Amino acid sequence: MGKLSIELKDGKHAFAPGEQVEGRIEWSLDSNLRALELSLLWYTSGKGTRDVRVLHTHRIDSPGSFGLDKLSFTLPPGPYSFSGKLISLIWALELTCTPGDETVRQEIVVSPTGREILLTSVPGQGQDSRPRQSLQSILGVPHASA
Amino acid sequence: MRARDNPFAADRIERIRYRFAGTSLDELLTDLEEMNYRAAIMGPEGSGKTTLLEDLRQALEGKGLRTKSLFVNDESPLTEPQCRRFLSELVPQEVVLLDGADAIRRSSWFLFRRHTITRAAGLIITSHRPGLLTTLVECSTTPALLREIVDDLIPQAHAISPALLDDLHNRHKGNIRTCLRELYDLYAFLPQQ
Amino acid sequence: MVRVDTRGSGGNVSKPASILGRLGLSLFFLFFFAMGSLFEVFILHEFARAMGQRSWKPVPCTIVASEVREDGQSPYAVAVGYQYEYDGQGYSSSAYKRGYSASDTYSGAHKIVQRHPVGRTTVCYVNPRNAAEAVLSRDSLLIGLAALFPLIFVTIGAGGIYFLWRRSPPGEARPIAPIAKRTKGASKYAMAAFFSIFAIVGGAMFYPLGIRPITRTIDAESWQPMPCTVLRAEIGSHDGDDGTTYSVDIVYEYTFNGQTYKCDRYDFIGGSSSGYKGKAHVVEQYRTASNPICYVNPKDPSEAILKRGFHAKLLLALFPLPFLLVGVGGMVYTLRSKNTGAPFLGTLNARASAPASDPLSLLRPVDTGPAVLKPKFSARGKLVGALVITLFWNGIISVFLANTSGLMLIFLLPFIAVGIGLIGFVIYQFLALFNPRPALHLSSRTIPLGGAAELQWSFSGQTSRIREFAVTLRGVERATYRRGTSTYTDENTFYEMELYKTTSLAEIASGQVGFVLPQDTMHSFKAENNKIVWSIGLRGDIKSWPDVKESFEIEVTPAACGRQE
Repeated sequence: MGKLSIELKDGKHAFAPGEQVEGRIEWSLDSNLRALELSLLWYTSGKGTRDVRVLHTHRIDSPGSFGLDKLSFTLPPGPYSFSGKLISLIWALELTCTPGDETVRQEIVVSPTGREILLTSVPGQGQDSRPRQSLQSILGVPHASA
Repeated sequence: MRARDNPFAADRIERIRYRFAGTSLDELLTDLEEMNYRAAIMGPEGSGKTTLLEDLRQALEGKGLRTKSLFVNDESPLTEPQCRRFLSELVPQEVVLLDGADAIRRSSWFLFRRHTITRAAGLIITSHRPGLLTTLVECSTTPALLREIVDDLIPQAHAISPALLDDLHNRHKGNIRTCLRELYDLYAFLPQQ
Repeated sequence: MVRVDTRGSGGNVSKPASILGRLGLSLFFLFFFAMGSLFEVFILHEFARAMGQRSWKPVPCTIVASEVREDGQSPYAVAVGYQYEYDGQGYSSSAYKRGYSASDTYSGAHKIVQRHPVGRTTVCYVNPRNAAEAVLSRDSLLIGLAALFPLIFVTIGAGGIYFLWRRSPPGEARPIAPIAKRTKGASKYAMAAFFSIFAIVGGAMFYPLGIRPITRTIDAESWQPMPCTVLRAEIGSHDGDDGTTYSVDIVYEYTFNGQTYKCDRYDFIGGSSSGYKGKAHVVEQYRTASNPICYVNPKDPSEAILKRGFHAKLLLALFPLPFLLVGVGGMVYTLRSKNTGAPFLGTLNARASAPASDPLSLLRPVDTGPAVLKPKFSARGKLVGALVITLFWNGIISVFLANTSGLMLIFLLPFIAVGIGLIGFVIYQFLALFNPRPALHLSSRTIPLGGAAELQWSFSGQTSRIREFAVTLRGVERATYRRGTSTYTDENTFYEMELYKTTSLAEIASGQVGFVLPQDTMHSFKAENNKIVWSIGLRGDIKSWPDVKESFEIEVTPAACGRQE
């Protein structure tokens, strides 16, 4: 069975904008590979159509069926990792191989606070103005305390 | 609830595959071959036409056929110069997949239809109305289909009452897409579990 | 969260038209089509008759009688007689023009008599099929131009029925403006041709209602004032479909260079209208005046006028302007417009192969100098847009109203309600034009998260009308979903902070506020489908008047690099 992995230095997964992301990648696959590609990217998830942006790509040609390599990327100043009601922006490192469908993804957080920025909703601006309690009873969800 | 955790996020909905009732993907592929890969997928808004077109694309490529896709909507209509440019870049082995054929100008449509007869391997379109090409399949939805899709998307802890879903299906006139978008809104304001 | 639907489908699903609804609308459009076609047939028939008369032979003739006759039945009849020869045979005739019996004004009849004095040899037109039938003046072909006007209604009627039945399967969500969008998609030249009808009609009306009376009014400033004798002064009464209208009918006599002339022109507009009192006052004045003055054209002394100078009636020149504006504006806009956006080409994979925009571009070093903020839509732009739509809608409805009563009127009620609503909207936008206008200066074009900035404002106009003024900073998520042929856009406000609020006149007129952006939130972000947008909103409450409401987008950049603790 094949194996692809991404390991970050010191197990660090949260980075400040502009910081260096370091670690290593490891692969061990049954067949000989033509190439391996490690990408630094962000993508969105939520109510809108997904946007994806690949910042850097590190390609390894003829990597052989097993091996390991260092990874090092400098993060840009933004965009930050964030999650609101409609949009989440997620940073990730993605390792893919050619040929084959093997992919491994390692999410990271890019934020000055070390945590994903959370965006809430301004009261009174929400489209759904029904009281939360009745909403939860419709959905059959246990009532949460305020 | 964070946008990424919402079970009705766009990327999760787009992973839903077309659910067949009374037929199967293989049967459709067989019919398509008999129609020389010139056919229309018909149905109202939110009935799964684009989803089925995507499934067919993957299946056709799995059979070794080349495809070339084009999406058109009211915000980005296809102008005649764009149409001509697209058709000039076509390779005879490619099957053209046109999503939103009834949203393009009549003159562009005639161009498409004429050009792809000899210079492409086929033309498969989606349309809200019949008459553009022979209908391969007519998509439609039911409340049961909505319940099935929602069951797949949400964890059991957040089960939704079937009555609510049936009412949703009725209010949105069978448009599964808008049903799921309303469910997104309902979940967006749930407290974090 | 505020939902902004960019189409009428999806999140704001419009109900598919039922058969009954479509039949109802079809009746509406059929009425347009029928009325337009009837008028069109009538005009084309008259035009064909006029064209037919072009084949009549021009033959020399001698005028033997020519005078203006005032008799009981016709106001001012032209009694003209002439003799001519055709195919070796002599004939005589008294027909001036086919269907002509008399002029409404003495001046009009007198002009004809002046052109055909006794003894003059001129040309008459003889019917080759009946040589005894002849006229001095042939029918005008200008009626052919009038054929364009009913075409508007024929096009709307036929187009409406076509698009109504062309595509509407059950359950389909329809675009908000199906006709406009579909026509634009079909051919911008067809749309331009449609608007050209408005332009031609407006232009054709503008000459007799605007250009001609205004230029003649200006010209009349140099006419010579002469004493005149009022022969007759009374109010003319004219019964029409819409009721009775009145006109000032004054006939007066004057002498110029030893010759006596008679005229009945009161002003350059003429015609009749409702309103009896004003006209009665004018008639009474001239009836009792001992030596009224008339103004005589020295270049053509048979031409005179009693009232010269600019007056309210000349404002009729404004009436054709909306048609002209809509026509010319519509043609220019349609011919200049381009489709925005390109169809998405490529595979159906979730991972886009070519990002459409660079959301990091705003993070590169930019000019951080001060910025003047501008609103997205100008007040004038909003008014023009509202006006065009309202004129078009109410112009069409008014034609129906003029010829409708009873049951049909009930049918028109919803359309009338929409028309009234649109008028209200135009009035609102018009009133908003006179609102005080804000000018905003921000201390820096880009503000980093956690950074400080200063906003300065000043108002021009009647600032004293603003009772309360508030400045708000707002952060909004905006997500667009495209699937199939539909596009939906939703918004969620995640940050809102009132920066300033005051009721002080001095502070409203001009002021400034410093503010610090929060640190633990998201900066401006723009991708193809997902955006974080920051804006500064201004609100000025005005009593019994549209409020001042403007929104200005600002750029918020990430904080300076480095981790925050």
